[in-house]
Amino acid sequence: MNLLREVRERIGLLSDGVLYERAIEFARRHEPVDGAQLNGLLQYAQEWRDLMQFVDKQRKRAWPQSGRTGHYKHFYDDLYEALRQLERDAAEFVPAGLARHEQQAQTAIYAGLLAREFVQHLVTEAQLVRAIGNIKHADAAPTSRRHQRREG
Amino acid sequence: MNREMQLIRAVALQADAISSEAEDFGRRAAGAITGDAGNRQIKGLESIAASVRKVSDVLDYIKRHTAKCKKDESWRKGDFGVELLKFISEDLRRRCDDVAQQLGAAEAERQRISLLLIREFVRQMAAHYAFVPLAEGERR
Repeated sequence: MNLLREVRERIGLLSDGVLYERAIEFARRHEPVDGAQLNGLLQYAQEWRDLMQFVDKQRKRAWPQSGRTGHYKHFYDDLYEALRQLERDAAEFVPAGLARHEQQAQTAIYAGLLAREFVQHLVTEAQLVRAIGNIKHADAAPTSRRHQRREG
Repeated sequence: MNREMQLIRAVALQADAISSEAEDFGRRAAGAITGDAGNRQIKGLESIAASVRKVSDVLDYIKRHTAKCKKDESWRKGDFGVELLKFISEDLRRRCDDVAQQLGAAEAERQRISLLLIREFVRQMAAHYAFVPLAEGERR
């Protein structure tokens, strides 16, 4: 199997598994931000550095502590941490023995691919929560084995 | 029987077992998701299910359309979208788990089983969606 196909398959499996689970859990734990913020996330998620800059900027903004933006700082602080975790996950894709700058460049590419999946799941779930409130989902990702293990 | 045939046969058996649910969801969709836009959305769902490599892409499509609707309209009429989501992510997943366990499937194969079963379910549902108005002599 060539490298590109192998990476795409791994990311596809992670997307249906751990990334979907994390996104649902994140959306459940946080009151969603408004539609414009969610659209911004989707847009910036096309590029890893843009996304990190956007989320970092949003978490450092002086959001009014009361009213509809009262929870925004908490949302973006936690999202920043979730994305940092994806960056750590992405490091596992990078072959050992590369020069530091190459390692960083490759990590950013893989982190971007993972983040795109995570943000897509997060935004669609948050849009649903905004529209109809929290729904009772199956608590595992679509192809997770957790369900099977619990029954076994 | 080779591995691929085993897999296809196991999915086909599960697909037969969910035909009444597919018919029910198709009928409900016909009553809820109407008009040309509705037709396009159901065709879009069928097309997404047939082409994507991830189960979550199908779930995200349903969520997006459900989230766009007003209360009691289209995908939200009779909680159609939410119940479809639950059916796919709970009932169909359980059936996929059974097939995967039965075949000793690894993770990638398991994902493929899920996609094949969802594809078949959505295909059946879309066929009933198209058939119901014809059977009832209505024009959409």
